[in-house]
Amino acid sequence: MELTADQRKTQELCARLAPDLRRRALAIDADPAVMEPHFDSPTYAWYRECSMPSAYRTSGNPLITSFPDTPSMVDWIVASIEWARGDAGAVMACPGPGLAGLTVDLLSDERQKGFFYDKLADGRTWAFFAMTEPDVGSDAAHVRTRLDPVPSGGHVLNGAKRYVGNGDRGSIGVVWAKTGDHMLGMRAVLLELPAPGCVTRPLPMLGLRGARLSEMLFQDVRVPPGMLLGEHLPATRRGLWGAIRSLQSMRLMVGSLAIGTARAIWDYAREHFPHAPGAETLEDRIEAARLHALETASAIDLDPDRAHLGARVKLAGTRLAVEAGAWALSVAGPGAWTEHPLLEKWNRDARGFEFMDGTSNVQRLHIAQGHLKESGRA
Amino acid sequence: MTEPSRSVLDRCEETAYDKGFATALALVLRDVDIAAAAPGAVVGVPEGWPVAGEAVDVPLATGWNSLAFVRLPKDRPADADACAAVVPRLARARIGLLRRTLDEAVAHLSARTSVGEPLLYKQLILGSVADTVTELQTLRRHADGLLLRPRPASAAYLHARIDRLDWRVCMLFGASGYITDHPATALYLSDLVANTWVRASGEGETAWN
Repeated sequence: MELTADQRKTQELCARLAPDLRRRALAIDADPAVMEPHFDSPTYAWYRECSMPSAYRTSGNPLITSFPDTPSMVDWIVASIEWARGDAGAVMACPGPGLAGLTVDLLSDERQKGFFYDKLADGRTWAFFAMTEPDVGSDAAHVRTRLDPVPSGGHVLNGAKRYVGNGDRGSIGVVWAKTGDHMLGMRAVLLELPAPGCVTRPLPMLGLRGARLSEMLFQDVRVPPGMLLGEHLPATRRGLWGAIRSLQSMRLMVGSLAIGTARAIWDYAREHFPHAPGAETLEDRIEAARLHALETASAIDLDPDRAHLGARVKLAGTRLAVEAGAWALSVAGPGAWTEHPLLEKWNRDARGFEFMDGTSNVQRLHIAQGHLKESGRA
Repeated sequence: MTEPSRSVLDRCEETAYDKGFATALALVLRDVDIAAAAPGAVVGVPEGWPVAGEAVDVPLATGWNSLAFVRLPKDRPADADACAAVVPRLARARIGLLRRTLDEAVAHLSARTSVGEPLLYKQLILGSVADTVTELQTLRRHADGLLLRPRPASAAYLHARIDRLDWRVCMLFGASGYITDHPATALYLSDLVANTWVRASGEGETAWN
């Protein structure tokens, strides 16, 4: 598929910015809590700006001009792959709206949107998206965290979330919870932290440490009035629909980051081990995966109800990144990963994509169900 | 194959299963001249193993994993036969660790439910368990065969397949297996240790397909 002139500009710009992410990658991996040296990176500034809706962009960054006010999925995928060629962990460590922003854009009214994005404007504030739970994984339909109304107004939150990106350091985010045991009972609230009754801690992850995956515990956490998302929407669009749509978009993004990571590994290996066997085949596989991701994004832009297609990109992209990591360590020679710590890090990172927004088996189920539905067999 | 040789391999596997990978690695490397046998500049050994060289900082390896990586002095003698003797023993130790971790994964999946049924009984999960136990058996015999026919390319293929199985078993834990204090991270370290002892042959790519 052909990229537009602006998309090509975005691709070229991201490719120019990616080395800055790569330079920061090992420091963030070693200690993701130390982010002060990275906040003012030009790459972070650009990433933050294009992650915000145009009405909330603040810096007047001249580099942003080629990125649309309302980005399509193709725009995001073009950028994500190039960012990950720099370093996916460094991208995930960047303060900004992240996945919570997708939900806010889908479900919040203008006042909530303003509240959320104004909190992120300083470029030093992370947002969290709390969906996954210790016992039910990322199965949005079976969330156990409870959101109950209180007579004085607002709600109270009780439950536990796990593997929440930036959950330990985010100051605002979206928490998914049940208001009742029916299909329409699944709802999202905006939550500011710190809040009495909410305890968070980072989880020591093998890779993608910039994502700062965390555990969040809620015990009688008060949610003020006006923080429940989707009240202005039809009942069927207030809850589960938004969760599924957010996750489906995210799967395509995660798959694209995995493809970009595979490319980063290939770029590095090609530079340091120019005669490595299998390099040409791997390059062709990565290019095929990139085109698949772009075609999928284009299909979703035309019909957002086909967002389940993103599961294919995540399944294939994760497998590709893991295999690229194993290949690179193999061709580098015995123990050479100690001299090439980026390769070892990317080998760990590649495995992390497997667990984000549903494992490969979960993606397989989505892919099969989507295929059967579209072929009229389900 | 002589019975004593086979019996050493069996003990490497059972030790890894019963006592963990670091203890088995000590058995794998017993009486081995590390400096001569190592195919590269860095080796993975049990923590505290008597080998001259400079420690490589790999935080994940130390602590309860009890492993260490050491950068060896330059200008060492090279003994390809000594390395070839290590490779099948190391493979069987890794298979023992895989079996142990697979058992833990099965217990984990038995305790988690989805739609009222243990995750273990989902067809995709059962298929993965079945593929793993089947391949374990063939890889075990592949390792044994290296005693008779110590072919470097075949050894590299064997370890790449074990790497792949390690990853398959890790995936059974979901995100919990990606936390550094989870037993599944020992599989990742086993991959790194094997990487220091096995020279790639170019067949690694096919071993992952």
